[in-house]
Amino acid sequence: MPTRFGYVFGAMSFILLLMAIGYSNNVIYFYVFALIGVAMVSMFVTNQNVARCEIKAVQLPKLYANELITASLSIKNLGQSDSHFIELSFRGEKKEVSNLNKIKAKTERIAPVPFRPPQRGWNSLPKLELSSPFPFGLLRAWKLKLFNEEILVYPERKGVLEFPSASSLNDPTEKFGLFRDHRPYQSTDSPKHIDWKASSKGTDPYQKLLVKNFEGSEKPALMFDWEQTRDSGKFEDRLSQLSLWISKADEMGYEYSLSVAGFHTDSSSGSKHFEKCMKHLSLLREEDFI
Amino acid sequence: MKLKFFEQPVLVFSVLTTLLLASSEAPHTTFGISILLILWKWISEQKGIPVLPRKVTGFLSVLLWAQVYLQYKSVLGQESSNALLLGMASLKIMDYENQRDHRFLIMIAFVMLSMKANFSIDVYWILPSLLAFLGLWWALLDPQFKSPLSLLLRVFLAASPIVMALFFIFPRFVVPWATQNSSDVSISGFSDKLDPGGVAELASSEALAFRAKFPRKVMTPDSLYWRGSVLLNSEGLRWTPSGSKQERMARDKDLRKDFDYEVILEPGSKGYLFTLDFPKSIDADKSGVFNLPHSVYRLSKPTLRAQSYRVIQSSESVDTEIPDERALEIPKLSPRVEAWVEDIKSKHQSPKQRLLALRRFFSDSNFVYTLNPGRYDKNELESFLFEKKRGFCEHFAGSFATLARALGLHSRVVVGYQGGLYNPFGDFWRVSQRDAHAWVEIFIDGRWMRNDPASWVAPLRINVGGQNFFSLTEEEQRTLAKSSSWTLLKDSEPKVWNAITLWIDDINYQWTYFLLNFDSESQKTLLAEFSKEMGLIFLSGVLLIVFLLYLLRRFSNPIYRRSKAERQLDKAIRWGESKGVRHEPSLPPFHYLDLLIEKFPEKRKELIFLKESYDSHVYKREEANS
Repeated sequence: MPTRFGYVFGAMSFILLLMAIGYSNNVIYFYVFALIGVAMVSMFVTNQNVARCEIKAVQLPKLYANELITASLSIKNLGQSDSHFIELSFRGEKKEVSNLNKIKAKTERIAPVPFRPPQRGWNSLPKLELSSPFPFGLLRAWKLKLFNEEILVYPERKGVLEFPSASSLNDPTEKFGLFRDHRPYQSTDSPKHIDWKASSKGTDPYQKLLVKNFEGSEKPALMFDWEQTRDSGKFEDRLSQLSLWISKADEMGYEYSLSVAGFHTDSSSGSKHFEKCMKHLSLLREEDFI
Repeated sequence: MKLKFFEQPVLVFSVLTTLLLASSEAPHTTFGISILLILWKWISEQKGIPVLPRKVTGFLSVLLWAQVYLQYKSVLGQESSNALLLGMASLKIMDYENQRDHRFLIMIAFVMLSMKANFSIDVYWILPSLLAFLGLWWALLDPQFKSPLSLLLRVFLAASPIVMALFFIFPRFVVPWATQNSSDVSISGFSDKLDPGGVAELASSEALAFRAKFPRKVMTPDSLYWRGSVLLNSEGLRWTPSGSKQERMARDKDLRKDFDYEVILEPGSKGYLFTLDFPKSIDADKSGVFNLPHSVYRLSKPTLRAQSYRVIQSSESVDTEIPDERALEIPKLSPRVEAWVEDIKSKHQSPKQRLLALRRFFSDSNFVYTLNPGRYDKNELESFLFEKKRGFCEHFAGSFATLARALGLHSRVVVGYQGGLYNPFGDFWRVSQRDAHAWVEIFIDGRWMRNDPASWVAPLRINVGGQNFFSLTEEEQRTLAKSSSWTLLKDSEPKVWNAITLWIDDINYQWTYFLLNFDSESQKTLLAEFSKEMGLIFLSGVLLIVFLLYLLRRFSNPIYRRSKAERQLDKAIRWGESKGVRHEPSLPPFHYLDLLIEKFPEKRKELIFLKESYDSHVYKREEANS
C-alpha cells in the first residue's frame, strides 16, 4: 500500500507527466518514467523485503489486562538477501512497534514486540503485523501472522499494593529455618521477625525496617478473600485488587490461599497454584456470586 | 528527532545542485534571497542562532506567491513556476527539522529537476541532473542503511528496462493546451533591426544559435547565408523592418522524411526561422509557420525551448517579388554623400553600371572590417564612408543599401547569419552568434540579388565563417581579411582539443536531435521496426539485464569479494610456486602454508600471521554467514 508520502509522490509524477504531455518534452517524459520506473522497482523491493521474513514462534510472559508486556518473537529471513527495517506490531497496537534494522539472509532473530492485552479471560492473540516501508518510504508492504491459540489474560493489576492486614494466618506453627538474608518489612510480617539491630544500622534515614528471611517456609501464609476487597469498588476493580495481591504474593514467594464465590484453594505457592487462582479470577463472572 | 540539513551531505549536494540548475533560469533577486536563506540556515546550524519561525516562513511563502503572480501574471508558466519552486525550496530548507520537511524538500527538488528540461535539453545538464537525481533517492533511504549505493544501482538497473519501455511505447499525445511554452521575457540574441554596432555586439558572443544538417549536399561556409529578417526602412546606417502581413503556411508532413536541410534552433530563438535563399516549403512539426513577405519565415508563436524545422529549397532559388517605392526611400543625406551620389549618377546611367561603381567603392576604399569600429550615429554615413572607414557587416550593409537606393537601385537589408562551423563527426553545421551577419539584396534584372559588401572588404570572413575568423587575433584579422585562403590557418588550431570539442558538440547535437524529433510519428516507425525484430531484441534485452544484475550482485556480495587475507594467500601461493613449491588445487590453504613454513623457516613469522589472518577473516566469516 502506498504511504502518504507515496500518494504525494504519485500525484507529483502524474502532474509531471501532464507537463511532459503538455510541453511535448521528451526529457520530462524520460524523467517522469525514470521516477515511475524506480518507484515500480521499489514496490518489488519493498514486497520482497517483507515476503522473505517469516515469524517462527512467539513467546508470551504472564498477561494482565491493559498491561504492556513484551512478547518475544522469533523471526527468520528465509531469502538469499538481507531484509531491512522490519517493523513488528500486534494489530491494534500501532503505537507499540518494534523495529529490526537488519535481518541477515538465512538467519533468525528474536525481536521483542510490545503487546497490551485488552481484557481478562480467554482471548485470541491478535494478528501480528510484519511490515516495512523500505527502501524509499513510498510504499509499505505488510503481512499478517495469525495465531490459532487462545491466550488467557489475567485481570488487570491495580489497587492497594500492601496486603490486607487480615490476610496473615498468624499460624502458631510457623517455623524458623536458617537465616538467609534480609528483606523490607511488609504489613503481613510478624513483628517478631523484624531484625531491629540490622534495621538501625542503615545509613539511609528513610530505610524501611528489615525482616529476616529464613530458609524454608518461614513466611506467613496469606489468605485472600473476596470480602477483603470490599472497599476497592466495582466488580472488576475488586478482581484487579485480588490479581495484584496474588501476583505480588507469588513474586515474593508467599504461600497463599484464595476464597472467591464458592471457590476455595488450600494455602500453597508455585506456578501451578498461581495459575489455578488467576485462571479462576480471569474467568469469574458477576453471576457466579448469585 | 530533530534533523539538521547540513549534516546530510548527500541531501545537501543534491538539493543545492538542483537549486543551482534552476537558478540559471530564475530572476537574480529570487536566487539572491535563496542564497541568503540557505546561508542563514547554515550559520544557524553551525552557531546555534535561531532560524526564522515557521509562521514567518509561511508568511514569506505567501509573499513569494504574490510576488511571482504580480511579476509573471501567472504561477503556472515556466519562469514563474521555476522561481516559485526555487523560493519554496529555500524556505523549506529554512524550516527543515523533521522527516516531513525532509520528504517535502526532496519532492520539491524532484519537480525542480524536471523544470530544467523546459528551458534546456542540452546534454551538458544531464550529468549534474543525474547526480542530483541519484542523490535525492539516496536521501530517501534510512540513514542507518549501510549500502545505499549498491541498492540504488541495482534499483536503477532494474528500472532501466521499464523506463525504456515506457519512453518508447507510451503514446505521445498531442494536446490542444500548452503545446507551446512561450515567453514574453526577451532573450539576448538575434534582432530584426540593424543598429550600428548591434550585429558586432551580437557577434562578440560565442553562444550557439542553431545547428543545420544537409543530408544531400556538401556545403561551404560562403554559400550559407541564413536569412532571418528583411529590413526596408533606411535611416542611413540604421535599418528597421516595415510592418507587413503574415500568413500561416499549410503543414507539409512529407518534409519529415524528405528535405534539403534541417535546422535545430537553440532555445529562446524568438520565433525566427533562418533559411537559405529561397525556401519552397517549411515544416516545424506541431508549431505552425508564418510566411512573411520577402521570403522570411517565423514560428507562429515564439518558443523558449529548442525547435527543429525542415526546409525544401525552391529549384529556381530566386526571388522575383516586384519591389515598391518603399525600396527606394532614404533619409536626407549629408552634402558630401549627396555629392558622391550625384557624381556616380552622372558618370553611370544604367543600374548595373551604378551597382558596379558602388561595389568598386567598397572594395577599393581600404575599409577595415572589425568588431570594434567605434561609435556611429544612425545616419553618420559621411563619417563612416569617407573618414573612419572602420565598420562591421551592419555598417557596410546599411551604408551600401542606402547608397544603392540613392543611386536609384531598389534595395533591402537582410539580417541573419553567415557561414558556420562544420562538425565532421555529426555532419552538421554549427552556427553561433559569431556568425551574425547583415547583407544587401538589390533588385536587378527582374530579381533580387545578394550583394555582400563584407565579402569585398573581408573575403576571409565570408569564406571561413565568423567562428573561425574571430578566433584569430585582431592583428591576424586585419592582415588576413583580404585573403581568401583558410588553409594556412587551419594547422594553428590544436587538433586534439578541436576534435574533442567537435565530438562533444556532436553528442549534444545527437541528443537534442533525438529528443526533439521523437514524437508520435517516430514512435510509430520505431514500433513497426521493433515488431519485426521483437523476439531477438526482447531476448537480448532480457539477457543483458540478467547479466548486468548478476554482475552487480556478484560484486556487491561480500561472499564473492576477495578479502585482503585471500589476496595475501594468492600472493603467498604465487611466491611459493616461484620457489618451486607446487600448489595443488585440491590442497587446503593451511596445508600449503604449512608446507611453505617447513621449506622456508625464515618466513615462518609472516606465514603464521597470514594463517591467523586467513582464519579470522575468511573461515570465521564463512562460519558466520552459514
